[in-house]
Amino acid sequence: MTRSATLVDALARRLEREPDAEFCRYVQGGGAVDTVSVARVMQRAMGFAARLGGARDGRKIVGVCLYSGIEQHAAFLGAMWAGHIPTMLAPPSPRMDPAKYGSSFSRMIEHIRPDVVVLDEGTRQKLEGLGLDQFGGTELVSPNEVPGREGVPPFPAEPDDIAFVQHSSGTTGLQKGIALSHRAVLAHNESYRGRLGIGGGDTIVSWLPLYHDMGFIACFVLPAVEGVRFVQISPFDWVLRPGMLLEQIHDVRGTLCWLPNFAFQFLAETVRDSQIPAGLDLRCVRAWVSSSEPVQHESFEAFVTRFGEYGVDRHRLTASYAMAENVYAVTQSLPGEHRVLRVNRALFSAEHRVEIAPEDVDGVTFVSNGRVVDGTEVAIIDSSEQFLPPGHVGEIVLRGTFKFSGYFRRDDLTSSAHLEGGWYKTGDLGFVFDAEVYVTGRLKDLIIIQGRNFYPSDVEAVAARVPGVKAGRVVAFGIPDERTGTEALVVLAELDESVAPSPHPQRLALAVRTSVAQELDCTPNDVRIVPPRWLVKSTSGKLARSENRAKYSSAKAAGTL
Amino acid sequence: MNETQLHSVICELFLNGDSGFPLDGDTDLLEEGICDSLGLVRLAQRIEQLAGVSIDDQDITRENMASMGAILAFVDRRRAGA
Repeated sequence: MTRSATLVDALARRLEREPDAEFCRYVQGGGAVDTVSVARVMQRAMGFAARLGGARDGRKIVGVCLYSGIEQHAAFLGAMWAGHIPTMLAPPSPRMDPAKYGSSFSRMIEHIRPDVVVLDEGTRQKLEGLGLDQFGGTELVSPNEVPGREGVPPFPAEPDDIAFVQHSSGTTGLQKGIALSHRAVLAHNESYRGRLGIGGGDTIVSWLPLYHDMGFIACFVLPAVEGVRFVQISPFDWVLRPGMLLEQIHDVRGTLCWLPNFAFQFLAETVRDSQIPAGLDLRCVRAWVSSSEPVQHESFEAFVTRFGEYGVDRHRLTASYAMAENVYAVTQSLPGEHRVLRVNRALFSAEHRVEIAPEDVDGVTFVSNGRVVDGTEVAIIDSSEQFLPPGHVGEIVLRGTFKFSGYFRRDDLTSSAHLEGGWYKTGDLGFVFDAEVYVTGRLKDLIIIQGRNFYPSDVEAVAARVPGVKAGRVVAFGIPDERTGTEALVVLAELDESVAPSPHPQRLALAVRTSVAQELDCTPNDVRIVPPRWLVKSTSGKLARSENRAKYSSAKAAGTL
Repeated sequence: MNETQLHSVICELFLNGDSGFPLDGDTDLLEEGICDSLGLVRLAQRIEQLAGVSIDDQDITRENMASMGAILAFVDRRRAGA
């Protein structure tokens, strides 16, 4: 079989080869299941393609802002089919206040400047109610005004054309759209399939949202294009009924499941015996993949302990270090290769060097993310950008055949993120030991909560707008939280003394929580209103997040905060 | 389970044990940023233990769980056999 040159070729071939094959099974909270064939999803996709028109007069940026279901997949594939550049966007979360969603939607439009946004009637009405149905050049399209079509020819794409753009949330994430070419995505899929041996006999079961790389690539683009059966559970429904994931795996005999670290712990803690159907059998899963946030050994252990009797086997837990800048996977460990390294803590802390700790020496443990996938190279550099030998801790850099084309319309950010020789600086800290990659921390100020990326500057900007908070005197950061298996979001804000009467600190903390939750759809774990001049400035006069994180941790340990 | 006990569980789970946090009976736990949906699932588990009622997946809704007032009313209904 000759290889497809573009994702559109691959889809066209699949439609020709197996129109009646199962494309995806969509599962909603109430238990509603809709199993859709390749022909049916493509009929919807061609409807969107016809509605959008071909890219002859220029490629449009098409935002897909839909809830989980066939229309979300079809709108995305249809935009690609017509030669446009789709990007997945987060639809309003059920808890979001319409006005706040409206303002975040407007910001999204301002940063991405999409030509078209596909959204459902409900979302559209919310926006209309706010007077937000007119956005200069952006056209709003609802799936129910798009009839299905057959026989719409694909727009001829070139392998190096941008296939789609991935964004993460917040103002900063929206400005850093990650552009990926057809060639890169296909090369990634081939490499990743090879590593995990993904094939026609597999069934992927996922509850992950599609506006993040793990759910988007591993659990949608890869199976859709490569002809692997997959199940998509609605993410909003899953969080309230986590046991649904296990039921679906059992029902369809799922073989592969990707989860962020927190989900292993969350499932272990919250699924009760009464919620487990009789005869639950999870032995069909050949690999559980932990990805998108630091892998904690304890979370894996909790999962195995809780579900061991239903067939979860420790040897089938694997990990992947991944990022949208490399399409998705950078590394992937294999079933049976799950390695935990206990290294000498003193050497690690003082010399940034890795040596296995003998039993009587204080150690710190790290879980391996496995070997680098074929087609990607990883190296470690020090703070002066010199390459370090294996066993030394530094910034992880990578290059290879499927690294991203660049940040969309942001050449400035693209070049500052790269070293000579095409190395992309990940901003993550780690080391290579026995050819396997370990991630130990983060150089950049990114906060990863439940596999989702947040930028502290976005959180700080939202908090600073709350009346009573002193402008420019807010710091946000993440700290690992063993209890939940993810990072806890901490916000420290100084009181504005010029506001009279002075707001009650706890009331003010609640107002900050509310604003952050509403505008960023992310709940802070700790918000502290600190006295004026409590926050530490760096020598450059800016508030330093790492210094304030250290001050917060020690004050909390000492009981003075 | 009374409001004081519920308040202290919420403070322990989501507010760093800050028992003085000013939560009212109608403070919306999700909308006002006290916890996220995952937090509600954890909270439901604690309420089961504390109140001795069983809470099914289907019970974890906004109507039943949005605020302390809603939770207490739900527990009362459940105890009354509704």
